[in-house]
Amino acid sequence: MAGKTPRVFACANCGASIPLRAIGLTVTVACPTCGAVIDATDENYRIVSTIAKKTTIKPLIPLGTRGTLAGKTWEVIGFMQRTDGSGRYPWREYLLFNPYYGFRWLTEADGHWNFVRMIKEMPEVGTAGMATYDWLNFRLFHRGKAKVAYVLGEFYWRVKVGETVDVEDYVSPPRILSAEKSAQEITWSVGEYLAPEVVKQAFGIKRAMPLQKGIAPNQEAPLKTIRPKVNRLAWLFLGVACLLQLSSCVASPNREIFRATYHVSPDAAQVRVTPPFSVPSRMTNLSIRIDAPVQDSWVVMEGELVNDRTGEIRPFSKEVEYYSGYDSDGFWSEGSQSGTVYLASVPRGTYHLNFQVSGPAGSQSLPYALEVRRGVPRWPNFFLAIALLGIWPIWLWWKDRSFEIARWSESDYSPYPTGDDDED
Amino acid sequence: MKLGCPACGAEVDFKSRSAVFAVCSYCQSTLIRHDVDLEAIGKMAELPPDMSPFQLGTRGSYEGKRFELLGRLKVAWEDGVWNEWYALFDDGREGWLAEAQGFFMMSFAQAVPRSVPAADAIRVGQRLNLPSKETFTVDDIRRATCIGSEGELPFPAPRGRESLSVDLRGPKATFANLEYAEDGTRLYTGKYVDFDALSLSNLRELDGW
Repeated sequence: MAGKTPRVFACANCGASIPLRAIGLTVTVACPTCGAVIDATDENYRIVSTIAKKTTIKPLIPLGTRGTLAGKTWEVIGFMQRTDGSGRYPWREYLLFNPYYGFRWLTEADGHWNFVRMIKEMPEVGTAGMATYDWLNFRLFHRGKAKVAYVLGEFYWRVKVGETVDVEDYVSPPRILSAEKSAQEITWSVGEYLAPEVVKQAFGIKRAMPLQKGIAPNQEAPLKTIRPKVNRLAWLFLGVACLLQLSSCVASPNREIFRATYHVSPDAAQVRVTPPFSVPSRMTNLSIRIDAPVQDSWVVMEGELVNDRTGEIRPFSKEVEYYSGYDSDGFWSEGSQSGTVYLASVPRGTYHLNFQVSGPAGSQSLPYALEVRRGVPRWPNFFLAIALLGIWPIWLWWKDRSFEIARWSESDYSPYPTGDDDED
Repeated sequence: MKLGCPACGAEVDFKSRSAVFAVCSYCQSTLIRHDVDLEAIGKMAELPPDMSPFQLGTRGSYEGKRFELLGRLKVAWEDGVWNEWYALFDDGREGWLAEAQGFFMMSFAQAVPRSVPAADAIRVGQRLNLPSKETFTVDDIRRATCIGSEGELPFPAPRGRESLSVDLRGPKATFANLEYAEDGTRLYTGKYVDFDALSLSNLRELDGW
């Protein structure tokens, strides 16, 4: 949509009629037909320069186009192509105007768009490349130069092709804070990242949008919004898991139901039978623990839990080994002098154990204790749950970090370690 | 106070007690008020066109206080033009609503402290302590010429009135302006304001907007 025909005047260079869409505010006009730069504050619209147009750039959004951004209507009145100091990296800036809300900029670099406004409140620039504005912390991303390469339409200052300023960009995605320093002044602006579709729709752009290359300095990480939600959810489930575990620990009686001491027979392994013991609760787990003071040796227990009524058998086995000594690092030890096996879901009833404990051939007689407990709190499921809960958040964190590393790989001020030591 | 234009006889209404200058809205005569007498000192040419959303009679509010725009000064400098609107508040206070480069600023006249340097001694970058106890930094210094005025104003503002306008930047979005003119030095302090925050009514109709 275009506005009403604005006031026009004739270009003193080519005679074409030039509209003035921000009359009274416009200081310089670059004739859209011949490129002559005209002083709009001069009564006779004096020509400032008539640099032969070497290249003609047709802006993606034509001058005079109106669009709606941030709930307000904006008219494109000026277009400027600028480059870095080397002249190799160009970007485009559309000057937008609304008589009630002033000027804004719509910038496009490598297919990434920003909606920018000048600010009058000076951001606080700290050391270590940080800047604060509007309660947001921005991190220095880029320091360089910006040179005017091409102008078209109206500007509210005396724009000059070739004019160069020092620029500093600080980012806090999706925002970007930029300073432009000339010999005379320093101006600050704050920009907000726009998706190309938003710009396309806002200005009714029919032509193809420029292809996006790389990651923009202030492009929002794609997982930025989902990560906090996932993390919240993970914490919630972790809380539930802790609560369940805690209540199970409190509820577990962890009571001894059988205990006896035996000796490992040095010769043939002897099968022992315990007296019957009762498991009173409806369904519980049992722990069978063996304590054997082995030293640089091992014993192995093999046995079965027998239900005295049904004859049902639950086999189990456990090896206990322990080695220790001294070496150049001092004392060392390996293994343990005790071992526990767990039998889950044991129904109420009377049981006994058939078991035998044997050691290496020819070993000495060794005392050992056998202990059976019921209702023993168990942790493995809990730890498994935590590990599973952690997978998604950690994966998202890793993806997010990879995105940030890729973003900052374009910057000289990356907070991430650069080069080989970070990859793999 | 309603007085008659000595040139065309039309009624000239002075809403502000301190207004001493007016442009007759019928014959564009520039008038100086001596108490209840009006003296015509010349003619005001038509103001150059602009896109200002304001007009005489526009009402708004600033920090909860209602005001009306009674007069305007159009000022040119080397690199452009800006508008200074004379705002009379319902409580009698007088303010200035400036529009420049798409920004709006509301400011109020302050007593000029003796520490303020003379026009030929002020420099860009200089720091000044102004009555609000804040430090302001001189941002730029420019020669300004009145290229037209309308409505009523608290000082004579004929076309061609010259001044040295010094802009100072303060903390947050505050600013100060020092105006060195033939009829004295004036100091204004104020801040940048958003259009929406002014809750304006009776705005000028802009073609196509």
